[in-house]
Amino acid sequence: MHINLYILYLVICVGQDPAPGPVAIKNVRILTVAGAEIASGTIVLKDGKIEALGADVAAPAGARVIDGAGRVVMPGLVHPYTRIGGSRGGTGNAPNHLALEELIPSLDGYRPVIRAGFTTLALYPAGGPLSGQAVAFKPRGVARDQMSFLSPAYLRIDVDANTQSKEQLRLALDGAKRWKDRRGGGEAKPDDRTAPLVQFLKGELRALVDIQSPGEYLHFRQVLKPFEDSALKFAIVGSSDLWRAAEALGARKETVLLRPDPWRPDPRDPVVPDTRIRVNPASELAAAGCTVGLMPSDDFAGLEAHLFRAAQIVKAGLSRDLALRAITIVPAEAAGVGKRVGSLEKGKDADLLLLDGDPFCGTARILMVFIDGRVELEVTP
Amino acid sequence: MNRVPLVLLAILAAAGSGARQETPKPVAARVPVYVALVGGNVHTMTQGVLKGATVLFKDAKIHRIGNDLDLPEGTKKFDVAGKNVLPGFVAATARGLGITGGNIQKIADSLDPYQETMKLALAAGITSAYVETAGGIFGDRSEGPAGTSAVIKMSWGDLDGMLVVEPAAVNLSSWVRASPVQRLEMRESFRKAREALEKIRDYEARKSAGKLAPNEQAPSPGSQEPYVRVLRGDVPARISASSADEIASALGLVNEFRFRAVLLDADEAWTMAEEIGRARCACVIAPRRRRLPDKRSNRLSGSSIEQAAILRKAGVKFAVVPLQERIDTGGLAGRDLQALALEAAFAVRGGLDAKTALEAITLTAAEVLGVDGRVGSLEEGKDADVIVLDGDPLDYRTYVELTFVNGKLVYEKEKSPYFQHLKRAR
Amino acid sequence: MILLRTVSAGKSRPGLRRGVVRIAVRYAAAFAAVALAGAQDPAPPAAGVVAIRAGKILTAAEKGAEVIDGGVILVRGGKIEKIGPESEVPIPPGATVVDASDRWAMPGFIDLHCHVGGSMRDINDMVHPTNPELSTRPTIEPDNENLKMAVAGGVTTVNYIPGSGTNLSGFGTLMHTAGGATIDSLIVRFPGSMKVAQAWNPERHGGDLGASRMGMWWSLRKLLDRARDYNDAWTAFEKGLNKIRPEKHEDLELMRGLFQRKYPVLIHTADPRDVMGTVRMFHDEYGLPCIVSHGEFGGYKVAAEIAKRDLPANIGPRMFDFRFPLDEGKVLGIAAKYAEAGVKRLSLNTDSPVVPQEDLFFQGTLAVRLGLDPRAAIRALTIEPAKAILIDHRLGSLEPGKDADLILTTGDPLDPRNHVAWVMIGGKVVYDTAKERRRY
Repeated sequence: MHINLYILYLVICVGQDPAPGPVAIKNVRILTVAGAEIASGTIVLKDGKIEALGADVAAPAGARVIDGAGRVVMPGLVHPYTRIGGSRGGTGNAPNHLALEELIPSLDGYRPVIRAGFTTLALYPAGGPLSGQAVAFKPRGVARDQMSFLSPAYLRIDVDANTQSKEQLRLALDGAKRWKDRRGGGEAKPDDRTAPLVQFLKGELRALVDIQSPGEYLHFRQVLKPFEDSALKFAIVGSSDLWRAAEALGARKETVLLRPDPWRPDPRDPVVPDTRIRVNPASELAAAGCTVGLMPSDDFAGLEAHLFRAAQIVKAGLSRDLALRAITIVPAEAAGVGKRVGSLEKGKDADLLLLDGDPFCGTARILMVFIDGRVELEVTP
Repeated sequence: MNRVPLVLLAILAAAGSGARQETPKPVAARVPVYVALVGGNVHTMTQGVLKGATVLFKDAKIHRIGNDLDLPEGTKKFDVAGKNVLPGFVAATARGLGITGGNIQKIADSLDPYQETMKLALAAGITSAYVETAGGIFGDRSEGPAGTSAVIKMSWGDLDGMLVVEPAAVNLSSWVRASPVQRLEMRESFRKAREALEKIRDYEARKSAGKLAPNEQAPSPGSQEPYVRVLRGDVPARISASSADEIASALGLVNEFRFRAVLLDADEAWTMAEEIGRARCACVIAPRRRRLPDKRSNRLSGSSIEQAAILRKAGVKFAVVPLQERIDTGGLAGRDLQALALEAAFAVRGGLDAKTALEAITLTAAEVLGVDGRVGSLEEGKDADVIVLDGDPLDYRTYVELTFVNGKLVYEKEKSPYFQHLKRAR
Repeated sequence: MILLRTVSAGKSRPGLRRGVVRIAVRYAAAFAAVALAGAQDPAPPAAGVVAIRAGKILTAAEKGAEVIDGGVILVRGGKIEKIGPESEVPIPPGATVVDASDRWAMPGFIDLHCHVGGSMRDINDMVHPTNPELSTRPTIEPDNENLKMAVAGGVTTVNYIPGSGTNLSGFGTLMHTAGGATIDSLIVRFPGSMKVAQAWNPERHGGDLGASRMGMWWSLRKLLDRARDYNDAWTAFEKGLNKIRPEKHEDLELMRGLFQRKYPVLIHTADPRDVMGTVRMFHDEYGLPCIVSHGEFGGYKVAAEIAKRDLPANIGPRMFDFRFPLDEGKVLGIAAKYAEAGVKRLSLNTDSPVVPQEDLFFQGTLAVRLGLDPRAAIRALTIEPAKAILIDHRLGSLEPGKDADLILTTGDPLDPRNHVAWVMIGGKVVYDTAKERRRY
């Protein structure tokens, strides 16, 4: 009985999945992120993708037409660095580990994630310093391969300012470099643990580097120095304390993903020790030349508050445009999925939010959430 | 000053990443960065005080010093007329400065170039410091050769320019307080180390003469490694010895095995300055340290404010450190590293000449740490670690206005949230 | 010696005391003469006069010159007889001359918050929250190493107080740092002050009374009420207004002196709330002479209230606030902040051994470095503490009639490069680096 019901459920879900009908939202203000804002236009979703968008786009026949007058459409939020959807515990130093293998489908916890406006997440493997490779997924679906849309999304690196951490990383990179630089070679392949690092050195696999203190950034750069002629692609996730390394980070135009503390009422953390000298880390880093992204903490409070936090950061000095990018395309690109999600463009995944006001007005409500063109949340205003 | 090339490199890397080619990257033409401190009274420490002179940095080094220098085009100039220009102060012992907490294996891997405390050290004119891990960074004077030590620079925001040398010393304080049995073991270690060193020297001699046996490996000093280092003169031994008895015991070891030693906490050194001089030991002293006189003894005992002056007379080299060898923000002023220059003023109180007192926190401190080839004086070719003061360096009213480390401006009183509001007293 | 003991007994009425002083002075003068004769030149100082010729004199006097260049101080019978420029104060023939033309002369420094008059383990009895019957007097150790160092740092008088382990730890003793081998011979006045600790240190965590500020303040008020009533009753009886002899309460005897304004209460206090609480309780409510001691950890924020009431603030051992004024984020000179708020009656302390006793001058050094006017710093080491503890008729400045407690330094006393070369207490030379090893 039980099993039958489950199968029935699967059939219903999977059966429904491939064919969400076309949707058109018209008379709506569109924050494309990719280009200029469309003050009033139509966006058409079809077969899970954005079919068209513009000021004079017509709704296709048979589409569900939603009147978006007075409302706003924006890309779904991206959480590039989460443990939501993963199992407990870490894997230690295992660069070959795939977070995909621990991704839990059908988690109750995905509902609040969607409610908070997140349409893409990337689960990173815990541990370090080389804990494995992340998986990018959408918080819907009942099977791993249905949810995940990029694995590996990125290599996860965790650096600490100590000898052991630096040595492990250095050794791994050394080994990979020997593989990358060897001549001839033929059929031989690097071992599983070395392969992802070879990809990293070749620029085929991105990395997210977890750096908590500003000093650690320089230690990471020091380890990286012999490998810098490689086409390395990585972004940094870290604490708001990183602003103190703004000069160094900015000089290299790093992408930095900050995680504002949801429990602090003011995003300008009192980060100058022993003082109340307040700094908006996002603004400092942006001014120094960094690409700044924002990400929530993994608790519900952090998820729920994400849009509001971004609004606060705008209030504290970051430009509205950069803040919008910081919660959409920047984390999407950092997680290696910028081609699919993070902005509203023709051909990209139909992952978007319909809000009843400007996302940074402080009181905006999310009315609808679309993932792959499917309505995942609909609130009666 | 490394910034420009870094930016270039980053741009090149970004440009190159798309093409992903095998061709070697073109080396960016490196434009040296010139900085000049113009018109100050330059306390060189080796060539006296040059009035109204200019110090020119080229990147991280002192390029030229003198009057009427021709400054290269594009030199960034700081007008320091009427100010005193000195080498940055050297803290011969510092706790926790510039390093992270936790379990440290190698100091080089645990430096914290963004440590906020460092800003306070820079505000006090400190540009180099000796740090160690043995016995816990924040704990008591470590005892034993385990752990590591380093001389580091307060190069705010620059990791690569931070480490000067590691290890910088071997701590042998345990000798002084050891039991007879432990001393026996330690002496044995020294003997073994001496033998190991002979073997190493023999190996090296034959190696340079090309007379090594096939596949001959270099002899390993094994667990005697720290002692070998001391005997070879790579690093000094640091020995904490407060009383005359303890100092005598330390000198005994030094005289037996002939190595370079630095005596710490040597409160009664002034009572045996000649012996210390003969053993060629240096001292790290805090003129205000107090040790009560031994009432049961007829000889001179206890600490003396005249310690520095007496050691000077006996030709003993010494560095001055404050009572607390760390930065303290608790409000008890004038007793921690922020008062390094004030502590040197107390050496003057005890009869020392001002020049030697100043050397005790610059050049001599650098010598005691074995880094005088790079820091401690203003000379062409040395590191551009320079401070600009608004008065006499040993005057209690004097503030540091500018601090440069490796040629880079890392502290500016005018912009410091902590100090900008404080005006020099009349 | 007689003089000191007699006064310290504290029984004599002012008139009588003057009489005793007069007699005592004669003894003291004779003694001083003998001592000096022994210690200094063999030539007999006929008039028993010591003449100190100093390059510069900082008088710390409220009236007259504050600084005299090239001055002379005449000392007779343990007192300053005359002081002025060399041209106005001729040295009488036969006087013992101390030629200090290359020295600066000034009053000996006074520290109102000292714990090193004796063995440090004897100053905290931690059973009762309030201990008005205790005092430091019996715990004094004359000639202890800390006092020796104090003299070498130019400190001639300290208020040796108990605490701060309990809410009211007892009574302190105003004492000289040298010049006598017995406890009594060192005492300037007993009691020096009562000692109260308002915050932090006395907070008891055993769940007994005084675990909170509510409890501490209730205890103090209750005790102060009793002491006031007790004093009123005895005063009435002594004036003959009340014929019935009140009951004797030993524990309240010393507290009477507070209400008679013979000596103040010194209150260890910190942070704005407790500084203000101190001001309210001891000044506003009970009208007692009081000294706000420490006043750190942001206490300066209510400094204007102290200024308004013209109360003495006794700052130290911390000389700067850094973490605590969280809205500032600056290194702030505490003494300077009090002065800025208009506090005129400013003295400095070491809380020795927190800062060693000999470094009292250095507290002045740091106060100036951190923004205090140098003149105010000199006053804060001399006349202001004397005024605060109600002994300025004898100590704190170089003026005719005052005790000959003075020091000679090799220059600006706030500059650590200079040192104290010679110290006189009560007309007696107690430290002379020309004759003994430098101590500091």
